[in-house]
Amino acid sequence: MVKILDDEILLSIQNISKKFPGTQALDNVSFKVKKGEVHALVGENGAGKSTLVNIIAGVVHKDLGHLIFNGKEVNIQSVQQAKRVGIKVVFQELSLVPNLSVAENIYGSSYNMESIQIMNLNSIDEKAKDLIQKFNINPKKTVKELGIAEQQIVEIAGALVNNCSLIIFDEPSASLTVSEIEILFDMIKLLKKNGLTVIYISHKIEEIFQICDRVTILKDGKYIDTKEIKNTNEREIVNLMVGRELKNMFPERGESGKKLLLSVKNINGNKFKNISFELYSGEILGFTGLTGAGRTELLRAVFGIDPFQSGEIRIKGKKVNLNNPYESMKNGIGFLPEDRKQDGVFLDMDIKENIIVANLKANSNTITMNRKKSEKNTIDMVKKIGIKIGNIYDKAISLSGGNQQKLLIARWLLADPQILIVDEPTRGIDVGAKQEVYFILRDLANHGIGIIFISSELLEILGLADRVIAMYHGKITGDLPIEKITEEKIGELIMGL
Amino acid sequence: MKNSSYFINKLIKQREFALFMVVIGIIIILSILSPYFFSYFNFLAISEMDSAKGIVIIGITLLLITGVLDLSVGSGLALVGVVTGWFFANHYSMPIAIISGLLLGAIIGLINAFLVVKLQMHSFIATLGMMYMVRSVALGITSGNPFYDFPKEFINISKGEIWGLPKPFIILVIIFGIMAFFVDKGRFFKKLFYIGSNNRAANLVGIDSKKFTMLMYVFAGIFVAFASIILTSKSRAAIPAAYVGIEMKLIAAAIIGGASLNGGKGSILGSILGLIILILISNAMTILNISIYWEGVIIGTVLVLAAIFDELTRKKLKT
Repeated sequence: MVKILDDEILLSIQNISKKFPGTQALDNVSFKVKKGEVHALVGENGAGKSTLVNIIAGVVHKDLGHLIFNGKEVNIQSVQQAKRVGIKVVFQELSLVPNLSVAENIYGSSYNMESIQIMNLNSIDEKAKDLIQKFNINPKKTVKELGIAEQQIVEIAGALVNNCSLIIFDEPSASLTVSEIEILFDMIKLLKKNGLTVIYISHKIEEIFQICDRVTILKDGKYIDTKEIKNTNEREIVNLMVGRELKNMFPERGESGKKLLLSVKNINGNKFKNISFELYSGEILGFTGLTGAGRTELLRAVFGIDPFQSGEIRIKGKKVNLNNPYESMKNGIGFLPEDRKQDGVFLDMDIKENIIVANLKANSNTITMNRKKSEKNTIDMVKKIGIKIGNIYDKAISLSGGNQQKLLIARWLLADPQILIVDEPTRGIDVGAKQEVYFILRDLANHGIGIIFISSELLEILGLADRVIAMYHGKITGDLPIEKITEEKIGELIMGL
Repeated sequence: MKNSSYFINKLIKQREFALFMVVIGIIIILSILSPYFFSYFNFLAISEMDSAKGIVIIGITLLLITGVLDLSVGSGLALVGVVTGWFFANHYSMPIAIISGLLLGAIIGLINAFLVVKLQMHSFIATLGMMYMVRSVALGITSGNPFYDFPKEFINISKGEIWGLPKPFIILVIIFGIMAFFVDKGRFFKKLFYIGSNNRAANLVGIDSKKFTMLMYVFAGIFVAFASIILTSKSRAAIPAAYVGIEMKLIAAAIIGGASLNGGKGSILGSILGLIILILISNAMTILNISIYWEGVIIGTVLVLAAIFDELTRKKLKT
C-alpha cells in the first residue's frame, strides 16, 4: 500500500468508538482522508457510517478517540463548531429553510451574521456565486420552489461561503433522478477542482466507482479496509461490506407458468395512455422507465387506488371492476408501495400487527381477533421470509429499512395473493438485504405468484425480471422477454427511442 | 427469536392498572379526609349525572383512536336536549321526541363527518366551527330560555334503580362493557387503530379510512344524543347554554386514559378511568370546600403529567 504523507492528510480519524444503549455503533475505527480526494464511505445498514458522520459533524459526541483536522486535534462538540473548523455535512434531510430565498439561505448559513444586509447576487461570496450561476439557479427564488438536486447545490454554496474544506454527503442520490445525479457529480467535480475534500456515503456501489478516488468499508461498527478505486472492483467491495461471498446477487430464473393471471386492455388514466399487458403465473414482470414515466400511476390504477377512465382488467379471464384496494385484495392482488415509511409500515404498531393487517380474517374468530392465530401466523411469516427481529411485539419503527421491506412482503404473503405488485422494493436498503429481497421474490414466483416489479435500477431489472415492459411518457415503448433485452435496449426504450 | 412475551400490550394494561390504582388511591385519601365522601349518597350524586358523560367519552375515544377530534359534543348535548324539549312542548309523543333527538345526534355527526372526510378539513377546525354553530342554533331556537316542561314518562327514563344502583349508571356500565370488549378485541374496531396509526397505509391494505371515520362521527353523534336524553331526563331541564367546555374535559380525560392526539392509541377503559379521576377531583374539591376555581390547576397538572409519562414510555420503546 502506498504510504500517505502527513501533510497529504486532511482528516485523520483515530480510534473512534461510540456506544448507544444496546449497541456498539463504532468500535475503534481509524482511517485517513486525503486532501482534495473524493473518499467513499460504505457499509450495510448498522455499519456505523451515519454515526461516524454525525460525530464529525458535531451532532453526536464520541466516547473515545481523536479527530485530527489539518494537523491539529479538534474536539467537535456542536454543528456550529464543525462549521467553524471547516466541515459541512449535506444530510439526506437538507437543512435549508424552505420559505426563504436561495440568497437568504446561503447567507443565513454563515456564522458571520452581521453581514446580512442586501440579499442579491452581488453580495454573495464569489465561490458561491460561481456555483449558483453555473447551475442556473435564480438566487431570488425560494428554496421550496427548487428541485432536490438544486437544493443540494444551495446547501453546498452555503458551505463555500464559510470556507469549508471538507464536505460530507450522506446518501445524496437517494431521491435524485438519473439526470439530477449527473448534476450532483458535476458539482462534486467542481468542488474537487476548487481544492475541497469530499466524503461520499452511498448504498449505490456503481456511483462510488464513477466519482470516488478511494473507499473505506465499515461493518458492524468496525473498520474493515480502505481501497483505491482503481485497484478494486464492485464485487470485492460488496464482499467486504457484507462479510461473505455474495456469489449471486440475483437468483436463478425459474419456469414461467402458462396460466394467465392478469390481463390489462387499453386502459387510460391521467398519466398513462392505452396500456395493455399480461401477467402470467410464476413470472417476474419488470416495469422500467424514468421517473414520471407513469409506471406507479398505472399500477396504482390496476390496484384500485386511483380510478382510470376506460379499458378493462381481467383476472384469470374474468372481467373485474377494482374500485378500491379492498376489492383488489379480494381478487388476490397485493401492492407494496414505493414509500414504505409513509404508505406501508405502521411505525408505532408492533411487528405482529403490521404483518396481519392484510389478512385480518385469517387471524380472527368471527368477530374478535384471535391472539394465538395472529402470533403463529406472524412467527411463521417471519421465519419464512427471514426477518431479523427480537420479538414480534417490538415496534416496527425499530427495524432497519431492509427488514421493514421484508416485513411488508411478509404481510402480503400472509394475504395469499396470486398477483403481487412491488414498487421500487429495494430503495434505500443495503446490498445484503437487497439480495435477500431478490431471492424472496423469486421464491414467491416459483410458487406460482405473478410478480410485477417496478424499478428504476437497470441492473435489478436485468438481473431479476423474466420479461420487461418499458414506459415513456405514459405509453408502453417495449414489452420483451429478458433474452431480447440489453442495457442499451432498455436505455433506448425508457427514453422513448 | 424469543417467543411472544407481549410486554408492550402489558404496558397498556399497566397504564389502565396504574389509573385504577390512582382512582383507588384518591378514594382512600378522600374517605380519610372527609366522612361525607364514602357514602352511598355521594356515590348517587356523582353517578346520576356524570354517568352520561361516560357515554359521550366513548364516542370521543373512538374518534381519537381514528386520529380525529370532535369539539362539538358540548353544543350537541345542549341542542339535542332543547330539540327534545321542543317536541314535547308541541305535544308529540315520547317515542317521536326521543327518536328525533337521536336522529339529530346522528345528523350532527354526519355533518362533522362530511366536513372532515369529504371536504378534508382539519377535524379541529371543522368541529370547532360546528361547536359554535350548534350552540348558536340551540340558543337561537329557544331565545336562550331553558325548557322545563317534561312529561312524567320522560323523567322516569332516568329515574329509579336497578340492583340498587342508579339507572344511568347501569346503562353506562352496560354500554361500557360492550364497547370496551369490542374495541379491545373486535376485528371491526381494530381497523380504527390502523387508520389512526397511518391513514395512507391503512387505505392501501384495504381499510377504507373515509368510511370508518364517517361512521365513527355518526356513532359519536348518536352517543351524544343518547347521553343528552338521559341528562335532560335526570335534570328535568333542557338548558341551551349548558355543557359549555365539556368537550375539553372529556378529551383531557381520554388522554389521561392513554389516547393520543396523533391517533392509533386509546382504550375505553382508560378513558373511563381518566374520567373517573377528573370527576373525583371535582367531587373532592366540593367536599373539602376548596374553591372550584382551583380545579383547573389540578386537571392541568394531571394532564401534563400524563403527557410526560407518554413521552417517556415512547422514548423507551424506541431504544
